[in-house]
Amino acid sequence: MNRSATPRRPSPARRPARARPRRGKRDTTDFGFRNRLGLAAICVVLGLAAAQLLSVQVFQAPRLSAEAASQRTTRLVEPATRGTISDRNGSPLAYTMEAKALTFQPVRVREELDEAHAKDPSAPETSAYLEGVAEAVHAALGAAAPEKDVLAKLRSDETFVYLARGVDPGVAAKIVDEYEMVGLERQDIRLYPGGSLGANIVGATGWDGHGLIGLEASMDAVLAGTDGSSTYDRGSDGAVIPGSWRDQQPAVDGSAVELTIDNDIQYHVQQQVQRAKDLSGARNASAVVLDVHTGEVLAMSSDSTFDPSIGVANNPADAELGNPAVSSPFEPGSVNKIITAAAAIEDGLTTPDEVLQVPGSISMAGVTVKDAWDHGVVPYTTTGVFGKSSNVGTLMLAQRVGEDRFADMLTLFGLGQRTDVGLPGESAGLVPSREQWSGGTFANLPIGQGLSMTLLQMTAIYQAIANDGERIPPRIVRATIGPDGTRTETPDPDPIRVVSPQTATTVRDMFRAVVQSDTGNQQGTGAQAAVEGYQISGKTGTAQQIDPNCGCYSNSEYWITFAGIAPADDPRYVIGIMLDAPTRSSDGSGGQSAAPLFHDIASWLLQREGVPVSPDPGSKLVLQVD
Amino acid sequence: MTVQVAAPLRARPARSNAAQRAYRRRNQRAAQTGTAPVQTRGRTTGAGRVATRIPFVATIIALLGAGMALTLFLTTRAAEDSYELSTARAYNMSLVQQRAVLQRDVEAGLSAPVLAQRAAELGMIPSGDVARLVVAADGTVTVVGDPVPAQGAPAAPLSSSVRDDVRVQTPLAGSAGTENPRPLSPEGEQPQPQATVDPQQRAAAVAEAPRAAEVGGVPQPHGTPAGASAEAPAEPAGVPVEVLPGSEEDGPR
Repeated sequence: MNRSATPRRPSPARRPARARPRRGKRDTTDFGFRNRLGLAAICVVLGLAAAQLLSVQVFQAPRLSAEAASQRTTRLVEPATRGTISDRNGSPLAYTMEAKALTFQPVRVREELDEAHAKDPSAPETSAYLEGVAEAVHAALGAAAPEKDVLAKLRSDETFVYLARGVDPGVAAKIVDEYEMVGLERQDIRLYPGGSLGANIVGATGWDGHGLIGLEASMDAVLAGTDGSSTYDRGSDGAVIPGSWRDQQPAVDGSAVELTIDNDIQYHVQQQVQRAKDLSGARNASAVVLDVHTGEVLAMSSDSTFDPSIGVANNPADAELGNPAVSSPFEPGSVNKIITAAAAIEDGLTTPDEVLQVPGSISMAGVTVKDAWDHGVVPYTTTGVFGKSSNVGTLMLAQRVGEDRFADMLTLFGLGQRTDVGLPGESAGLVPSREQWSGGTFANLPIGQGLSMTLLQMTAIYQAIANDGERIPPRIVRATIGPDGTRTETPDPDPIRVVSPQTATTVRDMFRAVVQSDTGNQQGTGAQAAVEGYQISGKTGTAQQIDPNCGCYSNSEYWITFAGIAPADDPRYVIGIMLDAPTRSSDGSGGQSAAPLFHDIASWLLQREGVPVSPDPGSKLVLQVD
Repeated sequence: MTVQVAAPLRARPARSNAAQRAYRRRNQRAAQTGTAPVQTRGRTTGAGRVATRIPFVATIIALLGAGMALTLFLTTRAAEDSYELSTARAYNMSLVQQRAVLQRDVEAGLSAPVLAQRAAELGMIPSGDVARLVVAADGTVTVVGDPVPAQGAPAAPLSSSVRDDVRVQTPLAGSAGTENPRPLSPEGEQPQPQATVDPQQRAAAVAEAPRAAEVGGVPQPHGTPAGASAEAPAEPAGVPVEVLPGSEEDGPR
């Protein structure tokens, strides 16, 4: 420092002595001025810096740090896997598989390829590369990805395109190995291995992977699970800043849902219902199979069920997306007569062998009801009244039961109330409340007109009779199984005692008359429902539909129903069937009867489940006294 | 450690005069105070003392060197392991995906509609009513039913109404390829057999299945015209619609 300062100082030996004071004074003044000026400048600069510092560190700090955080913070979402829907044996009806979507950034990638080719002529030309990608994608995916379409996407001016969705991971990996400019994105896809099998129950998911219809929608909260996430910071070069991982929430996968239905039974019933619909010319056909002792739904199907595996929107316009067996009530017709029978037997008002002199018509409160065929007074037994499905005889018995007791029985059998089976969109049907009954009401309800019920409710009536008089509300969800494997059984519904076991046995035995074959007067109305070797009880039904043109009952369109118990002597299954306005029977033969469909389902079911044949065919029943 | 000191010492240049003087004075001071001249580890010369320091430095250098080598080795191993790990992870991932694809194919192949379709392709037909053999306790066998060969057409596919063109847009695009053929469509791009069946054809197919037409068995008690129901619909004439509260609301769906 000294050495550097020395030469600047005026040397006394070399400067004139007189000049020294003057020049020294001026220098001092200059220095002082410069010093102050410099000081002021420094102060100003420092002041500015301090102000800026204050501004940045205090006033703008929250905004800037938020901006910085948003630039470096990255949130990773770990998608939860949707739960499986399976049948009672664990065979999946719907499950989720992780697949890949092939992605591409046309503009950016084309630029990069151009640059690379310009630098190194051995790099592939852009157009050749794109054609190669299109060819590879088409080769791997076939008709799902036409080469022309893929190429159009690759050459488009979009910043980002999906080349294909739902691609098998292995296939996708091969494409990306060969063409690294193609990107991959995780995409969960919902698979329905059975196609339309049980689709009326299971439903389908929408584009976002959440339920759209059916159980997929109503149980979405259970099935969906909760997506996990984690957050980390990323530098400008994309590298993860060490120690910045935080807020790590693992994904909670959705619970699996186990249904009570059996895929094989469901398949057979669905197939038979479709066949019956096609052969009978009905507008719709539905069938329900219940387990007698648990009330579990083993199969529930309707015709023309959509196929969720091709996407809801790709189904034909006339595909059935709903579940008519629980959502569409109808008037059941004579199937409802079993309520009168059960009430009359329970209350000791008749016996199966009592002979009733049944006239051709009956007048109740000003309403005249006739039988379907003209006849004079015929000596039918009580068994024969139901075996022949006589409206007049049924109403004679209903009069003994009384209006109030009959109304109570409707409630006990679960009519007018939702079964809470566990399916969305369930209808309660419509039963006029007792206060609203007019004179004609009681002339109609016992024969199954003037009230409506769903097919499930109709089948549940017969479940009560089959289960020794104890009605168990039907259920379709057996259990949910959490992601950790914990199984939560659906609580058993409370059984409802409808009639005594003796009454139930008597009624079951009486209703064997319906399927009884005879060349004479002892023929029932539903002999085609019989299954050789087994005792079968059931009831045919024909209800007039409403003609919208006149607002009256139609004489040409009917709801054709059948409900039955197999086997009658040791009940295992209850089957309910409804055909909407058929022109032929369910097997294509003349008449309008659903009995052949019952036979087809029951016969297959008894064989498939290995149900032993009835020890005896049951005594021959007397329907009409000669 | 102190063994090798002599040789390097000889190579060192002689001390400067000033240094030699300084050492001399120190020895004189030591003599005056009665203490022995400084000796290091039994050596009396300065050269010996310097020599003792070299092994220490060498030790440090050796330690540092060894440390660096170890670090390098561990880093290399870590990098190597991480490569192995990422390879194993990728392999694991590919196996998981492969399993998922195989499981998908198995599930699809096991589903009842696909099995039924495969059976139909093999020419199998539903058995219909079968006769049963009942073996009594005494060993006698009773035949229940009439054993007849099954006849008719194979079961119609479940989803008949699927159009050809929609198969192309199936969400499972990858399965349409040859790599992982979807069991539903083993021919890959070919339309599904079921897609080609229109409802009329199917109805015709099922109609071929001769079933015991038991029309004659239906009771037609009093000459009910053919085609009319054997059932007994309620008499509409006598039932005014207004007395049926449920009627209007519960019309045909």
